[in-house]
Amino acid sequence: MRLALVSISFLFVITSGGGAEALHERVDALIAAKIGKETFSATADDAEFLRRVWLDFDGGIPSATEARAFLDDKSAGKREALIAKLIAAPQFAIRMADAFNVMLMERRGDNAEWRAWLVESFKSNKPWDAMVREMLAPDFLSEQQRGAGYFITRRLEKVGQQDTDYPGLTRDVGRMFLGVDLQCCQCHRHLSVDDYAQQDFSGLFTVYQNLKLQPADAKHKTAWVSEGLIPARYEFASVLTGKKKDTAPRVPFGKEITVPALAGDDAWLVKPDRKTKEIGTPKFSALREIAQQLPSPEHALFAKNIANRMWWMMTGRGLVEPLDLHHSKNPATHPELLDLLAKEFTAHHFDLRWLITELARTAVYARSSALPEGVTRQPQELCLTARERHLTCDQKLRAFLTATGELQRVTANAKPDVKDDAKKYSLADFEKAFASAFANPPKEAELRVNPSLRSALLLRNGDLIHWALQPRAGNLIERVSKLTSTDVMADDLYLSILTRLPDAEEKRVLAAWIEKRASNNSAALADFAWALLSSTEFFVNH
Amino acid sequence: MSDAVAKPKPAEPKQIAEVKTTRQITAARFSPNGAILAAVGFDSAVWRWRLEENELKALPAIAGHRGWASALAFHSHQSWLLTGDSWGALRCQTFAEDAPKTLWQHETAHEGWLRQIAVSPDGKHIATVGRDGFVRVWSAAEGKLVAEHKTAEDLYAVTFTPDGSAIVFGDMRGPIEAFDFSAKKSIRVLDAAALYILDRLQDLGGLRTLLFIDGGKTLAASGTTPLDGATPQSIPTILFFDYATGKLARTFKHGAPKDGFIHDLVAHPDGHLMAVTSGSPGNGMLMLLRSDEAEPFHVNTKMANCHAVALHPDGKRFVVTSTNRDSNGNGRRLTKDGDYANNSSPLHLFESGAPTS
Amino acid sequence: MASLCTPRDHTFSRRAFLGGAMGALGGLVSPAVAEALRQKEKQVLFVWLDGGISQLESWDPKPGTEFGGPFRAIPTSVKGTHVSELMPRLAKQMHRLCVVRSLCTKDNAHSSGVDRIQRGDPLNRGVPYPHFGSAVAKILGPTASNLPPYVWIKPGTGGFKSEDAGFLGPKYGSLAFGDGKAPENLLRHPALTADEDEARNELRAMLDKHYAARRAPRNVEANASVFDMARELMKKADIFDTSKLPARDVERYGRHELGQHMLIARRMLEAGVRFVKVTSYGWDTHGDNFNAHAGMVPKFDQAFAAMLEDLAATGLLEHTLVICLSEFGRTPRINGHVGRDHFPEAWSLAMSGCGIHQGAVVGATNDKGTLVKDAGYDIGALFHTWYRALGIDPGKVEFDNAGQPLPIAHEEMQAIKEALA
Repeated sequence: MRLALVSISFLFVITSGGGAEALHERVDALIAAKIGKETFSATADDAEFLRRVWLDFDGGIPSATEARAFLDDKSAGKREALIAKLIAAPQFAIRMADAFNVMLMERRGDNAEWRAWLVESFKSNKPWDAMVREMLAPDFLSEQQRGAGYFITRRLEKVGQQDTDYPGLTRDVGRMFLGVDLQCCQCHRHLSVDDYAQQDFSGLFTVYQNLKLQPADAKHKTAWVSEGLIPARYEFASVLTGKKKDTAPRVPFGKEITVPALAGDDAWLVKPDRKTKEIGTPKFSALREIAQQLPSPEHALFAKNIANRMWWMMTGRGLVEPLDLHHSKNPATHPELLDLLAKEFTAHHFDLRWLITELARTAVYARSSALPEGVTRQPQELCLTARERHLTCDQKLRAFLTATGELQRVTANAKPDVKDDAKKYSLADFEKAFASAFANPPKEAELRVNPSLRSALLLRNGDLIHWALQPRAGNLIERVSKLTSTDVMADDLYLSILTRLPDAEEKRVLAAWIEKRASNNSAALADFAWALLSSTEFFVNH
Repeated sequence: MSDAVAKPKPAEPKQIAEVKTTRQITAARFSPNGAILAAVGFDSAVWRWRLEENELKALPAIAGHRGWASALAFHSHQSWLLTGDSWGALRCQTFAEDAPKTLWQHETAHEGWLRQIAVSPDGKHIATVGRDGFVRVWSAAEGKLVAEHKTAEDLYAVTFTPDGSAIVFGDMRGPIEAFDFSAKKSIRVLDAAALYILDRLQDLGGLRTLLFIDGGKTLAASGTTPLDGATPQSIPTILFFDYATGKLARTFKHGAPKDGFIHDLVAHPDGHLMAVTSGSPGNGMLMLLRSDEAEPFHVNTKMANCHAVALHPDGKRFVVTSTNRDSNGNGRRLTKDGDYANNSSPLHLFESGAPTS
Repeated sequence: MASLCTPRDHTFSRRAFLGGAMGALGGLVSPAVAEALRQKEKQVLFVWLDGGISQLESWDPKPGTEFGGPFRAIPTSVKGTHVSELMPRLAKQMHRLCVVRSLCTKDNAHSSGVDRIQRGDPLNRGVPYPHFGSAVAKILGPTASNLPPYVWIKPGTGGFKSEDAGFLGPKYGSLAFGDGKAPENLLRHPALTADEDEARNELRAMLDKHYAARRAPRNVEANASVFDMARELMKKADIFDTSKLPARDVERYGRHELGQHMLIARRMLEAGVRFVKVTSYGWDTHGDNFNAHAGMVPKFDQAFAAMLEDLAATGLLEHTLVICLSEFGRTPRINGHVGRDHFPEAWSLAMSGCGIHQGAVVGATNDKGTLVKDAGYDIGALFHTWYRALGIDPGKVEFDNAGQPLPIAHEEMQAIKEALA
């Protein structure tokens, strides 16, 4: 048996070019190994696949023309070519920046420098460990890197009279970069997870507690953080047992960091000076130490966490759920697979683009979201069927504006003008409305499809929705209302909005609908388009 | 900050005695001859000590009030002590003997909480304010109601003008009104709205004391600048008004949001002011300051939650009432004997040295 | 000071400490029972005074005692029962109220305490239990009005609060009206007629059905429910139109946040919302407790008394369960900030309405208010009591969390007999 496996992997090495192991095939093998007597769904058809990859890598949907071109294309490797094209396009970096912004900041606010840093990082395919280093020990004096500091600075902003949320920052560093939620370890050992100890929280907390948020000034173009002198040991006691312990600064579950014994003036690189308002820079930066150590192969959780999150991003469900609760009693649904992804990702120097491409080439990713024939219920964690996935409000907005043919117009409308119908709304107006209707409240992770009353009301009654569906030069309704047969109309509507062709039944429905409203074609079309745009099929990634 | 004439700066006051109590205390004053210290707090007793040498010897407490004995003032000339309680009663009694005599009293001088009592400098009148929104002036000798004035709000503080003809009182929302009680006319209204916020449902009023200084030219309104309600975050504040014009001349603010209220403010004969603060549990200050300086010239942060400062007529000694440490805590704290723990107010007797300069 | 160690979403994550998938939309074990319950159109008003109102300055005064504070007690419309002088109007409504003075619960922290109380603190089953409102929304569903069954009127932000629903799924979360305001986009777009609006929505529903033919129904159902609710809410848009509130009512309930919200709550109950929660924030008076309560309790007194009067006058009180509570009471001991701290060991709540023994006082605290006299009641007992008052038998009705049967209230506790009519 072993010999056979060796030869097979040898074959894989030969067939896949470029020297990289065929990760995607190994992934599929591990998934297939666990399904028992359940059945997979069929592979997604071209339309389903096309829409999915556009949303995932472009952040929007293709125009009707682009969709038709893909569907008509008969070449064998068109799916792979499409993936490659989308990932190579500039929009990919913007899409990834949006996804990571939602994941890392959880709607705490927006910041132009932060966005710019994210986009640039994805544009240059900066390795994930480098990105994390820049977030954890931001270089506030560098024009390229200072945006990364928003991860920390935003979380340290004072809210009303509440104390600076050092515990919140500590917790989020654990959650986002190691996949562990140490919140409950602040005051005592974790009550349900044996693996998490109070020391794991405290060793990190002592580092972040040592930071002070500073406003932008002559030298610093953004808010920044200064570091003080960190004590070698941080004392903590469990409120349950009262026992006192202490720890050095430490990456959770890692080795204690030795703080050099420097006293008095010796400890400062630049001494603080009250007269010159110099805040001072210590020689030893615990912040930098953590930033160096955490994103490394030494900490298995670092790679596991990102691998798990990317798996979630591509499939809608992490191998470990929740995404921030890795521990020995909460194993992955496919432990070997998670280990494999983590290992390979590390071996490839945390190259996100490589990982995403490999995951996009799996059969798992390419599966249809329609249930297999005759199946009504199935276990959720076996990846038998593609999950319907949540779309960020950015994705929803791009899709909506592309479908209605208004993307170019609103982007050009910098200054909205209520009197001129064509200039009534700007992109910013749409962004605001969609964010308020579709985004989660701050600090709530956006993980699942979650339609809300607000979104339903926006769709039903919102004026900008209505505006986008009025006939206007170059937009969907104007174009479709000029077409002559309802069949051709149906094709255009469905391709533009749902990125697929309508079936016979759907064409009949449209024809009947148009007939009923014979007096006003564009109004009837607007309402039909509205129904498509409000449907679940449009608002999820399936 | 230098002046043409060097101001006498007292040497740092030193604590010379500390007395434990069994209850919390929120107001304390020395009798005019300095022999007796009287105090009231979170229960109905009027506490007394006799000052002998530098020791405070406890006397029997005076009973008879209900709810909280919440206000007290010594008469300026006579050996009378005025006390009031949170059920509305007002009483005038002797105070030096073991069993003091009541001279006159009113069970419902106010409907509900009687918050502060003032004595006119000429000794003829008493003024009281309360939660019922009334300010009432009484004859000191007989307790006859001389005048009353209704306002819409809960009144927190009251004082007489130095010539005794008018009363000045402030409510929780900010207006401080000067009222000629014989002519029954309002003289002017000063704006202390800086001492108030509405946070959700809560009217958070920061005014605690009113005090005339500079021979009556300036009215000092002390309390706090509230920032946040529920568990209040507020910064100790004194507003100094030019009384004649009613304009705010200067604002004294010292401390952090945890430092809370200036609960008591007294004038020292040397011309400086003494203030005590109480904020979040554990936080308290004694501040010595001058009304025209931005920073206090002496701060003592060693006592927790100080509610009163009683200045001895000798100008050298004074008592600060504080609250014990660990006065707060969720849940049911028990003592070693298994009883429900209570709080108390350690009294700190200080002595200032001779002025240095 | 660092944040407390058991923050709000602690219980939410507890579900997943066991790992694995969250249950699908919970069901009821007996659909027949469910249907019978739905017929009776019971409603609930749940008034939440967030932060912990002081029982010593409200329902259980101890005037003139060591920890009693400055206020007096006043007689009520129930002979022998007194409340704080800060509640003169509720004192006149006492014959409609049932006050439980012997609450003794476990949690003295806000973040976890609020959740524990609102979710009934059942035995830990590894899943987050739903708020009482979500549970009632699930068990009884919307009334015939088809308005959202669980509505929350609160200061601050509004929106769909799915986390309230725990394992029941986001459909049973609360719909929050921030500052009592209607959600944006409530009114039908002026360019559409009612028919057009209805027609295109039906089309949408049909297209969704087509899509869902071979998919798990979860997302399509969620979508359908929000669009349907939107429709019902749109029909009742004038509930939020504060210009339509009679001036007399506005005066009676009080021109302040809580008064306004209570008035909107009454209109929601009249319109047929199954469960209305009203929250007032700011009761956590660790400092300046007495001045704070002196200002706040009368405002609550005014609004709540007006509500009781109106519910009684319209007959709604007969089939509306009314509950008023916080996450705990406040310590008898007064701290250095002249405040009271958290005190779950002995505190009070008040109830009225259907199934409740009105004019009764249940349980007592000792003279000083430091202990409950008997065993005291935990919140689980209250959940039992509330369900019974609504005609729901916790012995017969269960939740079904993807095959895992779960009790609707703490298994080891029972209803408080003296509190039930």
